[in-house]
Amino acid sequence: MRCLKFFFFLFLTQDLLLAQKQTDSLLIIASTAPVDVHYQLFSNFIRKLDSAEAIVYCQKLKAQDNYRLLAFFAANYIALKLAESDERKEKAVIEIIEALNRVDESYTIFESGEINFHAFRFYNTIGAKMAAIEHLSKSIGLFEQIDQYGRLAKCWRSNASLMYTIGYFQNAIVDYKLAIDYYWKAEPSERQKLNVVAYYNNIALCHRNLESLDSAVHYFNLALDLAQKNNDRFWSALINGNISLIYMDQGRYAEAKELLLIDFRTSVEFKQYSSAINAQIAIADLFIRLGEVDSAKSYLDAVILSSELYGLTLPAKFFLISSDYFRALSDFENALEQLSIYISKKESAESKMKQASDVINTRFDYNLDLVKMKLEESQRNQEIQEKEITRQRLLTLLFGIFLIVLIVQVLAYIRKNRIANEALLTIEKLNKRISGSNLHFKQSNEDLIAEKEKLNEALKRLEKAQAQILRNDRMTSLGILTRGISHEINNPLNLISLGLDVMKSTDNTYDSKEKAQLLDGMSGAVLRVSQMVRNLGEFSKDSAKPERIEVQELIENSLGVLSHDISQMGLTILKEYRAEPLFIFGYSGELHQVILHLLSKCMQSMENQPKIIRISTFIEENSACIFIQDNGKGLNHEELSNIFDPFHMMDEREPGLYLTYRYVENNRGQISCSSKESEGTSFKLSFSLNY
Amino acid sequence: MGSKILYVDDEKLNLMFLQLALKEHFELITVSDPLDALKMLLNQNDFKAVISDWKMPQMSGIAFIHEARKFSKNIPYFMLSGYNPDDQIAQMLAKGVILEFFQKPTNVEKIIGSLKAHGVE
Repeated sequence: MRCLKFFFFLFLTQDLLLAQKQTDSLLIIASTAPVDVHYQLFSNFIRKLDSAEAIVYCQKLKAQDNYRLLAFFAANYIALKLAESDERKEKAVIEIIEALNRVDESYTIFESGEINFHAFRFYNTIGAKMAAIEHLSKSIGLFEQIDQYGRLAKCWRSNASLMYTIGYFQNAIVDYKLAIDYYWKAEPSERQKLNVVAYYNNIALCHRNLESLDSAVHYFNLALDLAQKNNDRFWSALINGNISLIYMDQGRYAEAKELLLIDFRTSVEFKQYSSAINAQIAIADLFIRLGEVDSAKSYLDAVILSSELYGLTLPAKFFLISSDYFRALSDFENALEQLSIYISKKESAESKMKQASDVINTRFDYNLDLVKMKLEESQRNQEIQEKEITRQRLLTLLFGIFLIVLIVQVLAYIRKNRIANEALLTIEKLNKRISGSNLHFKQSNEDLIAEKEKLNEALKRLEKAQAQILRNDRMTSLGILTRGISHEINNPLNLISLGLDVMKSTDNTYDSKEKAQLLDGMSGAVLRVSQMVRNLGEFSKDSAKPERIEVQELIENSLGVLSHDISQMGLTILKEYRAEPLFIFGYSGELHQVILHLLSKCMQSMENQPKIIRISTFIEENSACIFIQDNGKGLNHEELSNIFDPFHMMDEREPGLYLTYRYVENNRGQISCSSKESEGTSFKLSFSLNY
Repeated sequence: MGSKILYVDDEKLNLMFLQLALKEHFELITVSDPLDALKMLLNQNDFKAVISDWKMPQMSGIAFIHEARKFSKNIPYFMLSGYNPDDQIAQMLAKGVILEFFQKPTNVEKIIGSLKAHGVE
């Protein structure tokens, strides 16, 4: 340990040459040091050393057999960070997957937890969100086993920020609160308590995104109190900046301006140039709203200058505000240009859609792979049976040889006893009988093989049929999804397309008021598409691992996707949600599809006004329950008894709820359905709370 | 000024956009309720074409066009929607009940081209 401290000390003094010399001896100590130390070491390699040296050391680490996993890990992490060509990146990915596969070999729970956490960081860096979440939840599970509160706080915080980046603010809030709980449990030092400022700040940001401004201010103030108690000027200024944004939303411009200026100055003082730039953009926004266009212009120019000076790329928001600026000047050509840069900066809806559908396809392939695996297994079984048959044949052969030897013996005996003729006759007879029985045996073997093949064939057909049914069901659910959303995507896209046509026209047919109207409509359309794409994300989630899911959110997401259909039908949704959040554990994508299927089943059965669907959530017998009831036409006795049957079709286009049933079963839940003709149908889902 | 065209869509934003987009070529009369649209078709006989949305809460575009054709049979009908056309729409196209189905997102050039091709100037 002393050596380690010395090593870090050397880093601090920037004496890299000496540090290098010390590394080898450190590596020897490393064989007995905890994983933490290794990771610290690797992080330092990444941060402090240049790429060539980092890789040299990683090769050395790789050679250390005890720690090959971490070494692999660090090596690849660095390789990936430095990867310039795609080829190298690909190689790094292959190596890291190989390394990850060895995780469970011989590590303690703590070490496995750490490794999974690193894996999460790795996947998160390369943008593989699903894999990242998977490893993070593994890591959380492991740390929970050994009450590692500090680590748990870190994990939940990471989960929260992940949720935040993909726009699940409710989840993020819950996770940050968990992180804070664990953080206090870990008994932090006074200085460490400052970290909670960031947690509070982020909770507040979530609330702001959810437009609950009062809660946002509440949490910002909690954060501000804590920061001021610790005399942390940087955080205080940053939070002030955030509060100012809310003031702007509320139209309290004077207060907002004051806070933003403090934020800007402190950011510069602490060399946090990207937050300085954000503050400048916010000030420009403020001036535009106040109608002081010239001041706004000078701030926007300053943003461009500082971004060039500090080598930072301009944030997307800059182009939005810049578009607002040109709009305020009635310069629509430039306003449009800036807006379109903003749109292209925001990830294009189309590529997200494609990603979503790719994920759906991968899942499809995954299921097909399962079926393939089953088939291979049955083929293997057949091979084993064939081997068994060969063995039996061998036994028969041996038995035959034994008989012949016996006969030879008998022959010798008989000869000896001079009754050779009779004996020969007997032998012939015996021989005939043996070959006869061999023939018979062979025949029955062949029958057996033929029988097996027939069975195998039947099994294959059954698997095929089942796969076909599942595929049909899956396509139906894809259909429900795409029907609802294609409109919600196409309609705003149409507005943008028409708007662009108008903007392109060179005649002076349009006055500035009309153009402003169109631009407003177009930016609203962009927002609508991105909201829908966000909702969609839930359904296409690659549910490789079960996770904690909040029931009300599950339902709201599904209603969100169906919102257009619901309003078109004039449907009333009565919601009776449990006051406290209700969590279940399962595969998110599947559970979302379950709710979607049930809701769309209810919607399809609607006949007369008023059309009502009642949704309630509650706890019953230690299970989380979701109850969905419609007042539609109901099911007759036969339909009701067959509703979960795989081969039953309600009509040609609409299969039953077999897939739904399978999904519920897969998530260890139960589903029941009751119905009365012309009165309505209800479904009850229950999931055990003891997960 | 071009011909007078009736455009029905329950979303006001859609009405505003198409009206502005086509304003150089046609006089678009916009209405957000198909029942009002039927009344207008009954009372005014100078509409040269009708463009309708498909799914509307009060009445579907299909039902609206069938109703309207009972008394305004000689003008062309078009449909404009974000949904993908289904068998029913395909049948209406085949029978000439609607002359064209504009699938969103579409553009000004396409709509104008199609209207002119069907004699709406």
